[in-house]
Amino acid sequence: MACERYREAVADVAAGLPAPAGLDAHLARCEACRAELRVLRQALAMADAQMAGLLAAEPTPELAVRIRQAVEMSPALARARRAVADSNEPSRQRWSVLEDEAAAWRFGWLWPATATAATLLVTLAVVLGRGTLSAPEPRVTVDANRSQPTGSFGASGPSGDLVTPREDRPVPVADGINDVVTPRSSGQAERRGVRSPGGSLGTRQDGVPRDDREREPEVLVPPGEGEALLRFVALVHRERLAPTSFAAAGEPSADLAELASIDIKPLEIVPLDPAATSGT
Amino acid sequence: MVLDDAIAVGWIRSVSLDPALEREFEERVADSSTLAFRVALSVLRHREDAEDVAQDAFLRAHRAFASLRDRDRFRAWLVRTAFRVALDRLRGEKRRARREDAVALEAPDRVESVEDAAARAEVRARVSEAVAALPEKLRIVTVLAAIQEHDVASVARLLELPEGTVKSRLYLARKSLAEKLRWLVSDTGKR
Repeated sequence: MACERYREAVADVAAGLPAPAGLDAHLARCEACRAELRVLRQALAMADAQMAGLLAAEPTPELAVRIRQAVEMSPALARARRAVADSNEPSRQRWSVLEDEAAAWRFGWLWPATATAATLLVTLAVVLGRGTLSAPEPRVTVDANRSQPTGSFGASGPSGDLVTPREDRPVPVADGINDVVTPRSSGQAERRGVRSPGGSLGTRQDGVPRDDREREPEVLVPPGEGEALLRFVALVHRERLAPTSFAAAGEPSADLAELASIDIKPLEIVPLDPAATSGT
Repeated sequence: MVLDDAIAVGWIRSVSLDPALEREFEERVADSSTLAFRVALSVLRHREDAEDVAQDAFLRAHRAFASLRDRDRFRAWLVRTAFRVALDRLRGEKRRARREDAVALEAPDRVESVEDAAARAEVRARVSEAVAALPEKLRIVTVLAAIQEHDVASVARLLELPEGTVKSRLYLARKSLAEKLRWLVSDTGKR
């Protein structure tokens, strides 16, 4: 029982703590505890000896040289020394390293900032330009040849020879009739240029409609009916006719009496010529 | 392109040492490279690896030397860095076999029999394992105590710890080592 009580104390003493009261007396009487203390001390002595042997090792004489060389070859130190050397010269060369490092760091933001500003300016210009395009009071003009098939796809036609419809005052163009597409005599659809509200032609030089035009739906009009359609639109707008009046069955509304003066030809459906198409 | 002088000078000083600092650093290399090497060796048990770690620790110390000019502070920082770098290296590399080979190839101080050599290698391996199994806080204290010949005050300065803390950790470490290694004494005693 006494040995159990002193077991921890024996280990503590072996590890270096002072002996608690009563341990010395117990050790004097107990051979087993004396042996235990002796074993533990020998184990520690063995560990100390082994560690001392290992840790008494000296590095090679080259270690200090290696360290100095490594420091000398350190990229940060090399750069710094170049900078210090340059800074001691009054010439412009003192900034050569800084131009490589610090200057690039300090002024590197200019490029992205400039690019961002340019992008914002372009975006602003586009937005403002669109605002002009979608002005609420566009002036509708039509190609004088609108009623005459030109027979050449993509030709801008005599874009300068534009005529206004009979209704001469500004007419708000309802959605869906900005572009007028008339079938060609060959049966192909022909995209006709319509002057944009801003005054520019709605087609590019190559005859391809501009993007802002392509976003709006198109109306297919039989050959020769373009002017009649525009007159119809002008009439509807001038009289502020409600869509319901068009849906009424029977005789045309009195409000649409003027329509009688409009010569509306029957729709002529011309079969497509496969040879003139892409085959799709 | 002309930059502000103050910014430029500050930038240069942040990565460079003035001549006085470089001289001090040279002195630190001279009087502390062995310490860094031994700390690394206690972990790695391989000379070349330990020298690599010591070099790495000094490179790091050089970058931070402006704030490590005090000798004790520098040595404490160096010991901790070398110990940490060595542990990282030990964990990151699979060099156990190479280390064991290197330990086995170390020449004994005296001519000994094959049996004695084998017993010595066995004891050394077991002691190393027992030390390596200690928690890091106890391990570094044990290693430094061995290097500093059990001068608790020196170990406390190196670790920037109170002496009482060092004594306590050292006692815990030695008690653990004694209990782990006692069977070696019994075996050798039987032989």
